[in-house]
Amino acid sequence: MAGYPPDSHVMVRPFTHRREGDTVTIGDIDRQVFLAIPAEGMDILDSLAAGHTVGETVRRYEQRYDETPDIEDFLDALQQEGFVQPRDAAAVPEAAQPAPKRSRRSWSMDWLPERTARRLLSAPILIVLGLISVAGVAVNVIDPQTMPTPKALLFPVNFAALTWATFSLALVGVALHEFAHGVAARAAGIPARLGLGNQLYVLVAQTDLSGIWLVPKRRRYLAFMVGSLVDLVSYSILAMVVYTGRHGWYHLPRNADLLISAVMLTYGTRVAWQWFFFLRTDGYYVVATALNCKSLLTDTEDYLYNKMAALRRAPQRVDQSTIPAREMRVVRWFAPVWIVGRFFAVGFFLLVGIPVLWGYCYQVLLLVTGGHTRFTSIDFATIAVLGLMLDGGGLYLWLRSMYRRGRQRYAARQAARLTSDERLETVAGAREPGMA
Amino acid sequence: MKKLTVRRLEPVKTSAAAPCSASASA
Repeated sequence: MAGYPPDSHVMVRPFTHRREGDTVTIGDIDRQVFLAIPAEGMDILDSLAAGHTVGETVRRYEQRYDETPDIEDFLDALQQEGFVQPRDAAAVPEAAQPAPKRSRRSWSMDWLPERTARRLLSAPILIVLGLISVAGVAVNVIDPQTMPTPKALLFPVNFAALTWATFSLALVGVALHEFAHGVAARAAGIPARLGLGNQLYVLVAQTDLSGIWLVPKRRRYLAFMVGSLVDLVSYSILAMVVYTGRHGWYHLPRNADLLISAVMLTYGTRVAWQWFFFLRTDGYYVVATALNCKSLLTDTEDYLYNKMAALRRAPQRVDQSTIPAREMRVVRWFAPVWIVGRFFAVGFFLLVGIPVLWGYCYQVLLLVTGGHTRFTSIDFATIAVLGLMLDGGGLYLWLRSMYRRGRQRYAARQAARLTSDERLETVAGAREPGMA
Repeated sequence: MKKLTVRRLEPVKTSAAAPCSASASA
């Protein structure tokens, strides 16, 4: 790392910032890197950006705050994240960290103008969506028969056709849910990218709206909750269609009734899924925002790694000394939630997911080897194709992310051997955020 | 000497799952 002698100048790369209490969020939208620094750190960056030397900047800081800043350490950390570099090295145009590799499976929503997005999420529209949701819940209360049961997916007739129709409509629902998140991001003036990903072994549609760190808290809540609001509105409209049909307002064909109930069930499970706090779900982001945590899941995982290391009497793997005491209290409370959540998720996978997947694979094996297979039934083939596609896809992405993280850790350990003095820093820096 | 901490904020990626057929058939 280059030093910063008192008579040197520093090049500060362009960034966006937002003040919140005693911290400031600074972000490089192009590279999708967002940092939290103390509010007084902004004075240092402003002074350096104005062309003052490091020494002059320290003198101004001392004059204002009556103490000496550890500016070398501060600038080193910012240089690692690509926000500053010594002026002498400024001839190199690239940032220290290149822009993130765009996944081939993602699509930008920057084509949606900010003004249009704001109109789509204006107060009158949100009020109408809220009223529809209330009406849907009211219909469920008046006639509980309009609520779908878990058996709604076990169609007594036309199983294959209704399953494919349900799957197609559920995909439209997933796309609408994520599109709503994207619209909220665009309304806040930040970029959003839609793509595919995984949460543990589950294949998911994802929207990356990391720039949301740069908008006020109130608008962040809207961006996180708007997906479930859209789900609730869709559910409510279907509940009203079923209610009016069953109460003789018009003729509701049986196939339509079965299909609507099944689609309603997929909406219900999707909203419930968002409350799995131990994964990066909409509910998790709402909780992390409310508790003012900067990286709750990663900090919790690091905390548990350190606990495991302590049990083995090994050295601490991640330095958490810079995390404020208030956030560490939340981390200690969140750790049991993480453990219980993972326990059930992995348990479900081992007891249900793996046997079901193996059942599909075995039938495929029988089909290929000419054995007697249940694939002759179009119903079973439907379930198998969907199962292999969704669960197999999710499992593939999960295993791939674990393999990549293992390789990163191995590389970090090798690097640590070369520079044993910097061991802690290297391991912490090489860890990828999140385990999902 | 006053230490100024720099913390990286976590990525914000919302996600929605397609209906999981393993759980459906279970």
